[in-house]
Amino acid sequence: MAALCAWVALEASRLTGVWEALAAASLLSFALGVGACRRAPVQLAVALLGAAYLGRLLAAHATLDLAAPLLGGGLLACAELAEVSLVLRGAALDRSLRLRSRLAVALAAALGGVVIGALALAAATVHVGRSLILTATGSAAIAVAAWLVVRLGR
Amino acid sequence: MAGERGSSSAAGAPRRLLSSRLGAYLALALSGLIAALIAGRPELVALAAPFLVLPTVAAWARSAPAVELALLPARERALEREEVPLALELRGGDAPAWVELELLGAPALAVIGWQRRFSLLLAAHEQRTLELSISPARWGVHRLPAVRAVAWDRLRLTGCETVLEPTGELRVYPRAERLRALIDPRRRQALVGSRAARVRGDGLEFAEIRPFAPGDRVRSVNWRASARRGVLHVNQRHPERNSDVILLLDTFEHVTRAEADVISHGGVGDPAGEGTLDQALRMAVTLAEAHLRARDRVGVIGFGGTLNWLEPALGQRALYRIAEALVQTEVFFSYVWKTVELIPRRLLPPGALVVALTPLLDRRGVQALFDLRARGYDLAIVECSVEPLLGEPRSASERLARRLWRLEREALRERFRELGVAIAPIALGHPLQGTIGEVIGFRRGVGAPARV
Repeated sequence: MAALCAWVALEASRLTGVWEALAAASLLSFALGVGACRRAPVQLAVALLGAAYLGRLLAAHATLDLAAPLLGGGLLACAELAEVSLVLRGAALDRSLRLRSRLAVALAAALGGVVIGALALAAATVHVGRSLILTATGSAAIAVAAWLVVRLGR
Repeated sequence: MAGERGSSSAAGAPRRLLSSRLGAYLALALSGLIAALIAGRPELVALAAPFLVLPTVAAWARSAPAVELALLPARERALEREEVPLALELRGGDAPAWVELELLGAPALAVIGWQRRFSLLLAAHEQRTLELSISPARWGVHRLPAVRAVAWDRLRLTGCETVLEPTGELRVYPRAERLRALIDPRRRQALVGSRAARVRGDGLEFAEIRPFAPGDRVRSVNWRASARRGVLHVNQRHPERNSDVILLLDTFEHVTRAEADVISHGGVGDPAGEGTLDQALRMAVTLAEAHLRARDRVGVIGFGGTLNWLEPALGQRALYRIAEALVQTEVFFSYVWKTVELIPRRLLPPGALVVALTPLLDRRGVQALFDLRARGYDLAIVECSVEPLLGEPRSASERLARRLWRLEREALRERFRELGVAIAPIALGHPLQGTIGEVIGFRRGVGAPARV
């Protein structure tokens, strides 16, 4: 998590102080969540770092940032590993618990996210009708997310 | 104490749960996607896309199966601070699950050997029994803890919650101490017991020698005395008789350590804490067990906001009935003025020793004791002292008030002593035998009316 925060802050070329502050706040929130065994600060940390990245993109980058899928996957991996840590603490454990499978699943989900993100980014590099494809892809993703909300809410 | 082992469970309907992180992931993903559309940056799609993976898996994956639970206590009765084994039986569903167990409620029951929350992995259709122990800190009727089981799937995305509400209860009895010496009642009753009576008859304790009279048994003849005096003489003995003992519990007030602090300094106390009623019940159980073992008849009267009683009886069965009655003792606040006339006459047999267990705080209870003494009952008072529960006075006015209060209480005790009533306080943390010894010592010194 610290590495991600550092990358977001140090890659900025303008308004670096703002992004550094946001990244630091994100790291602090993450540490607080893991230390105090609370989920909300961990999720807030992910949102803060995402906001820092967005601000950095809007402030500086004119070209496509190909590292975005890695950041997304890295954030998911941090969130999932924090979740495993929170689950393991605060309750006694049975010896038969197999933790490696949980860790493998968390990392696999992050890897899958990186692949999906890379595909989405690749779709955005197509020049013909680029804005149309981007809009269509984003709208489809929003629709999928909304459907997930409904399905999981039942 | 023996008890049956049986299931005491009523499981609620299973409830499907979603991991709290799914909502956060969806929110993050939606925020990222909307920001991507507004800002026109595809990188944000790549940033948000990974957070849709797990919600998608959760939407399509099968929910974790419910776990069947059963809670089986080894017995339904226990003594204070005694460990009671508790078996928690789990039966898995048709898929492996990560089961989180939590024991809810029952704050007075300490869980030994396990924490109140623990996790384990349950294979498909696996049946497992967890052996726990609980230890009640205090007497009373305690509900067993409820058990909440959440069975999560392997990814911990969806779960199934089952709450087992126990229907059984654990009856915890005050722990009795062993007494080496008992308060000797001044009068005996007609039944055979362990105490030497003043009358003459068949018994163990030698009384006197008297001349032989027609009807005397030959084996009572004292041949040495007869040979010395030239006339047949027989041994006379004191027969062993029992006595009646009535335990009078003052249930007008129950002061705990926290409440005593409230009295001194103000604040909100803990009504469930250790206090004067606990002292009284432990002494009552100790005295009941000891006197019943000595074959005395023991009865109990709860004199307070409500009037409860158990008639004097003998034997082990009487001890169980007394213990059951004491476990259900409660203090009910009441403004009603109560006198001893309310107590049925058969509960106070003539010549019975009345041992009052009282904090001497309520005027009604104190006046009832004076009334009993005035009616000629053999009375002894065991004071459940409030003073050890009080904290140190924090100001000069509190110190003065404490001195005045102590003087008032000493004056009250002196009034009882002048009437020949033994009164001794229970010393917290010390054996109860010390208190009983003080009562015995006073009664020996006072000089009692002749035993019958």
